[in-house]
Amino acid sequence: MSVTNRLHARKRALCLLCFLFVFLIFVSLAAGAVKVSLSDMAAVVMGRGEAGHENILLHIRIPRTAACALAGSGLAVAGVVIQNVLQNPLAGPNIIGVNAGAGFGVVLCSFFFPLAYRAIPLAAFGGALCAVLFIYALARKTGASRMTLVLAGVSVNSLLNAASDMVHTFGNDTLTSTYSFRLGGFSSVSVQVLVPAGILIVAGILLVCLLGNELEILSLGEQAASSVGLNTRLFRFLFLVLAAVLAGASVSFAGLLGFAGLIAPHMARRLVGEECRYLLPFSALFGACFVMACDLGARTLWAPYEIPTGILLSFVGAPFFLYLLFRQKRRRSHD
Amino acid sequence: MIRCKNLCAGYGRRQILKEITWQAEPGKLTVIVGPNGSGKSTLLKSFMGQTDVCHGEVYLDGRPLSSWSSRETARRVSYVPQSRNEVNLSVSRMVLHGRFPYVAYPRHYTAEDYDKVAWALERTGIEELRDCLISELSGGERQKAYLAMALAQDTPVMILDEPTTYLDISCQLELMELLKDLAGEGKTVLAVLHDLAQGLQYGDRMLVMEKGEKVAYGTPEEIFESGQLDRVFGLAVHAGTHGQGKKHYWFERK
Repeated sequence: MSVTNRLHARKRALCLLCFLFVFLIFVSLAAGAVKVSLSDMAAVVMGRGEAGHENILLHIRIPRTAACALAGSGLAVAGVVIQNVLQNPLAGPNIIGVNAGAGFGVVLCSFFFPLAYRAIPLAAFGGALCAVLFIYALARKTGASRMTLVLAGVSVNSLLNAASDMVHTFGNDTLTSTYSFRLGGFSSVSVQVLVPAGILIVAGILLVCLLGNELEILSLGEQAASSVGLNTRLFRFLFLVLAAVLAGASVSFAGLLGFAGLIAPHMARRLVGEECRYLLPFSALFGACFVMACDLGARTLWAPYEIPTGILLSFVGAPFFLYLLFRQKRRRSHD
Repeated sequence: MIRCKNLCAGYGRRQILKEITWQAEPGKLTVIVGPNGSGKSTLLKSFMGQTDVCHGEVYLDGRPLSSWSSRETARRVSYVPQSRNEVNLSVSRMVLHGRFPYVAYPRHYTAEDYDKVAWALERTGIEELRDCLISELSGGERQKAYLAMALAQDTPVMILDEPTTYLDISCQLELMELLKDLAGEGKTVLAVLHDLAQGLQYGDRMLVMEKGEKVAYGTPEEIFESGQLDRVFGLAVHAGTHGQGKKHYWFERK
C-alpha cells in the first residue's frame, strides 16, 4: 500500500467507524421488545414523549447501550496498553488473567458483602491490579521471555477462574447472578454500578490517550525507551495500573467479556498502525461498536429470548480472529 | 565528555567490568573491540546508567552519572541498541521520539522538533523513506532510521552497540563513514564492532577489552603495533599498504 493511500485509509477508517458508532447507538436504543422510533426519541428528548417510551429509554436502553460502549472501549484500550507494555501481541486482559482477577474480586465482594454495590468496581479493580502486578513482577524477576509470560498469564487466569468457581460453589444462594457474570452480559446492568465504573473508564481512556507518546516509546523496547530518557519502570507500572482500572471497571458491570480486549487492538493495529494517536481512539471505538453490535444481536436475534452477550461475542469474535490470523499467514508466505 | 574511574559494574550480583578507568575523546570515533563476553556492551550500558555499579563511577561532564536524571542524561548521551522491537511506526514518527527528552508536559512535539527530525533524516540519507513503516525497511535502512533517531536526540555523545551487524558490506562501509563524519563534526562516537579490520580502518581510537578489563587504548596503529590484538583474539594480525598509501589489515588464526 502506498504511503498517501495509507494516510487516507487511516482517516477513512476512523470516519467510517465514528459513523458506525453513532448508527449503532441509535439502533441499540431503538431495537428491542418495544420499538422506539427516532421520532419517539426526539419526543422524549423534548419532554413530550410517551411515559412508556421514556421509561424504557431512561431505565433500560440508555444504561444498556452506555454499558456496552463503555465496556467495549475500556477492554479494548486495556488490551492496547497491556500489549504495548509487555511488548507482546498475544497478551490481552482476558488472556493473562486480568479479567479473571477482576471477576474473582467481584465474586468475593458479592459473597461477603452482598449489598455493597458501590464497592464492586473497587473490588474488580483490586483483583485486576493484583493479577497484573503479579504477571509484571514475574516478568521482571525472571526476565521471562514473551512466551513464558503468556503461559504464566494463562495459568494465573485458570487459577483465578477456579477460585471464583470455588466461591461460587460454596455460596450458591447468595450468588445467583454469577453464572451470567461468568458469561458476560448486560441484561442486569444497574445504574448504581454503571456510573462510578463509567467515570473510571472515561477518565482512564483519556489519561492513556494523554500518555500516548510514552506508550508508543515503551513499545520500542526497554533499551530504546530508556535511552530517550523515559523512566520505564515508573511508566510500565503506571500503565499497568491504568489497564487494571479499565479492565476492572469494565468487568465490574459487564462480566467476563473475553474477546473484546484482544480482537479490538488487533483490528486497530492492522488498520491504522501503531501510532497511538490513531491506535487508541480506533481501538476504543472498535471495541465499543463490536460489543454494541453483539449485544444488539444477543437480545434481538432470538427474541423473545435473550442470550448472554459474551456467548455471541465469542461466537462472532473467535472465527473472525482466526480468519484474520490465517489471512496474515497467507500474506506472509506470499512475500 | 564522558569518562569512568575504577568502574566495576555488571548486572545484579554478577560483576562484569573490573576497575576500568578510561576517558572518551570528543571529536573521535572510538571503536571498542574484544572477544565475546569481554564486557564491551556492558561498558556501553554503564555509560547509559543501565548497569548496576558496585564500585567506581561514571562521570558525565565532570558530574557522577548517578546524579543526572534520566532525561538529562538523554540530552547528552544517545544510544543505538543492538536489537529492538520491530514496530509498525512510520520512520519519521520513530525518529521524532528521539526528541522525547526535550519536550515538556503535555509532551507535544514542536516545530523545532520536526525540523530536527527532517535534518536527521537528511543527514542519514533516508528522507524519502520518512513515511514508510519500520517493518517495511531493509536491514540497512532500518539501521539508518535508528541512527537518525539518535541524531535527532542531538547529543554530544553517541553510543552504538554493533551498528554494522546484519548489514551487507556496502551498507556497513556507508555507516562507518557516516560515523566518522559525525565524529569529525565534534561528537564523541563510541561503537562496539566485531569486525576488526573495519575498526582498524575507520576508528580514530581503539579500546581493546578482555574479560571485563581494559587491555589497551590508542590509535589503531598503536594497537596494531602493541600486539595486543594478536594476544587477545589469538590471531596473527598483518598489515599492508594499498596503492594509495592506505593501510589495510588481514588476519590468520594462530
